Amino acid sequence: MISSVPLSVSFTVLFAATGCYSLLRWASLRAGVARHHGDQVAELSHVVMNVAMIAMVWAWSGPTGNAAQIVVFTVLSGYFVSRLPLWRRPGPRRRSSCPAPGLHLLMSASMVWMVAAMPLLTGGTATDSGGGMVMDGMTTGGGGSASHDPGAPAPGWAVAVTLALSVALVFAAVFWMRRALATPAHTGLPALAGLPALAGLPGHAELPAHAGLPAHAGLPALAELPALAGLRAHAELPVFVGTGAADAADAGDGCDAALPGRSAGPAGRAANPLLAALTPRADAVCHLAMSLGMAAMCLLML
Amino acid sequence: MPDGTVSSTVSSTWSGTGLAPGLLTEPTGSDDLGLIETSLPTGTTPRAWWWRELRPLLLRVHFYAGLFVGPFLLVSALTGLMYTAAPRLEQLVHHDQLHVTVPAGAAELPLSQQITAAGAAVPEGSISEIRPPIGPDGTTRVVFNAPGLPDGYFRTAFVDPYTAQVRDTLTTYGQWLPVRAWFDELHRTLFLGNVGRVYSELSASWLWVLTLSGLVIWMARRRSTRRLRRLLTPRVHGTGRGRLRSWHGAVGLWAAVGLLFLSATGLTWSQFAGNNVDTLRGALQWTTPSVHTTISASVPPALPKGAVLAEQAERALAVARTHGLTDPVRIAPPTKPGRAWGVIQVKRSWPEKQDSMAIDPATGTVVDQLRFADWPLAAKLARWGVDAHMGLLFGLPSQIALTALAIGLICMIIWGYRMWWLRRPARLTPGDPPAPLPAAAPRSAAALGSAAALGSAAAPGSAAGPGRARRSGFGAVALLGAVAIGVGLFLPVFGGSLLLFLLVDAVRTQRDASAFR
Repeated sequence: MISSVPLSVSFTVLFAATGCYSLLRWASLRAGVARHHGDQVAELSHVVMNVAMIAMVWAWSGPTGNAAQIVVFTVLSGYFVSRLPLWRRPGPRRRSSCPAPGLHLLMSASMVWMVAAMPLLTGGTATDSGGGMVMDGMTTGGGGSASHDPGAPAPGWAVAVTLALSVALVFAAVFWMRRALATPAHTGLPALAGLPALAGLPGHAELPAHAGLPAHAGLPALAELPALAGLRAHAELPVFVGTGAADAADAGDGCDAALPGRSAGPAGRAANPLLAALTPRADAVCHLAMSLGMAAMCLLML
Repeated sequence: MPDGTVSSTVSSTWSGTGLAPGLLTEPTGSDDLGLIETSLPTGTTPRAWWWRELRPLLLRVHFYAGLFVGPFLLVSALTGLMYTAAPRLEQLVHHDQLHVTVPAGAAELPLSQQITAAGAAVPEGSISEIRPPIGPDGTTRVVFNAPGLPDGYFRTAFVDPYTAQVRDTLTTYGQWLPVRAWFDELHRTLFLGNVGRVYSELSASWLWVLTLSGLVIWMARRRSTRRLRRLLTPRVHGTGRGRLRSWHGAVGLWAAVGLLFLSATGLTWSQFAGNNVDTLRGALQWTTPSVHTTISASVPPALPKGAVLAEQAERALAVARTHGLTDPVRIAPPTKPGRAWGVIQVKRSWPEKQDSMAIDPATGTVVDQLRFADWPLAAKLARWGVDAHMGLLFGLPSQIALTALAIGLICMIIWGYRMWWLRRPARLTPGDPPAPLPAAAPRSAAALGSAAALGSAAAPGSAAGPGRARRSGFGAVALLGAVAIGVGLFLPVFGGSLLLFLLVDAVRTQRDASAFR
């Protein structure tokens, strides 16, 4: 537990906000209505991370909870490692894979380190009681494998690792900030709004994230589809077209590029204000806030 | 809508374009069975938007939770079924330890004499409590803490109150004799210690989810069928999944209250959720009250031993009886110097007797007393709940009810798996043409389409499982996700297992979606 209540509340608000955003992002991906690419596992990992960070702030977790967190975040780290090769490979797989898996790996690994090393860093001893330990302004939830004399200084190597992680997280925050600034507030394809095939779409058209269409299916072919003519008010319409944005997504990191047609035009935006808020820029800001928050928590452990 | 009705808006776009047909339709109705979604016939009023969004999610939660938690629930139900027989079995197996032949004209010997005899039989033990006989043919139980026993276990001497002879000594778990203790341990932990407790917590954590989701799905059928009889009674005639689902749903409806009760009370015993329940009860002052045993004496009396302890126990019991505390009781010696004896009623069948008194044996005064009638309502409910879960509250009727619940749950699990087997997975590879709709078990074209579109790699309507025919709504997923986080924090095993399900589901969905590109 952080000894300062205002600081604890601030961290709680920060992680609750980013956690809620991640939950909404995951829900949009799970429901197939996300307007830009993403990775459900990454979003779920963010939800768990934020809950774990809040638990860490208030020292809610006991030895069993800490052990469970270490297992969960180790598994998630393994997942992000497995995403690294995909991210480097151009094509549709890349766009549906985890955005910036290296930075997600960093966050997951940082979680493992924070939970595992907190008794060591705060000079506390592992306890079985599940109660917290008040050390150097922080209280840990107990647990961990490290046993250390109360009040003893943290080992130099542990401090070095924590500092390195903090610096890396700050660099990650810079990456996300650059991405947030480089991304328009409403990534979309205005040109699509004027397309004849989409002009008659109703306001509630919700577009699935993983419809079984090839990513570069031609737009004219779509427009010619007879089924489009009879769409009803709640039709779910797959609009996967090869456009400049999609190509740009392939050329760049691609993972957060808007799904062509998703946020295009006023019809798409009017569907759900929450969905409309889940933009690539908001996504980058969420990652930025999380990275900074985790870096700050790392530093507070020292 | 009869089973055979399917949407007709689909197939024209299936081949050639690569479009997923299910995504071009809006399956808003349900088939006769309630799970395969099909288009509504002309003139049918569409259901509320929130239900259209929520229903697929509930179906999938019920399906997946049932599929993966089913084995744990089955073990819980089977061991619980065995446990319901334990009280009767205990009386049979341990008849000699529990009962004596009452000699003609004989009177019970002083309790102190019986305690002394028991102490001689368990010389290494220290007395934990004494339970005088409940009836004239009962034995006196003297319970000892003994070295080498696991937590919660004691060494109990059974003493003939007429002869002060020790009939037997047994290792007991609380007040349970070995037979019931064995079934209890089996039901709680499968003899795997704390690791095994996770299994029962997993069952209890998901039972209420399965019950509520199943209840909502089944109750919602009334709107479509508008036939109460079909809701409440299973179909006797017919074959296949329709009949199975009818039995599954109707039995589940009747058993729902009991299953929710078992889940709630089971969670109070669990390892992780139980701690949270205890914390919550403490915060809300719902804890079970107890008498104050501190004696305000200038020189605190030392802990009694041997003959002194036996005499004090007898005196404490006499004082308690004088003050109206009737049998059955247990007498607990002081645990620290300066503390009083406790005499506590232990009748756990209706009407319960749970009054207690703290008695100073030196002066024969009642230090404190607590009537069950004065317990907070929440504490009373907890007591009744625990005793009902164990089949003690109403004796044989509650044991019969629990037996029926356990059998019902076992049947529902088996029917559930049978239904899943009937629509068992058959793999397709990307690029395979869709299989024709089987005549015997027609599927929704919407299910067919979206199963492929969602990348289930499934045969039409098969591997996808119920609810996959239509995507869950964003609002429904977000809302249930938020609720799941809150519940998952309070019920950690539920939260952990749910996270595991979601991660597996996410990986599978994305893998399949990639495979179909």
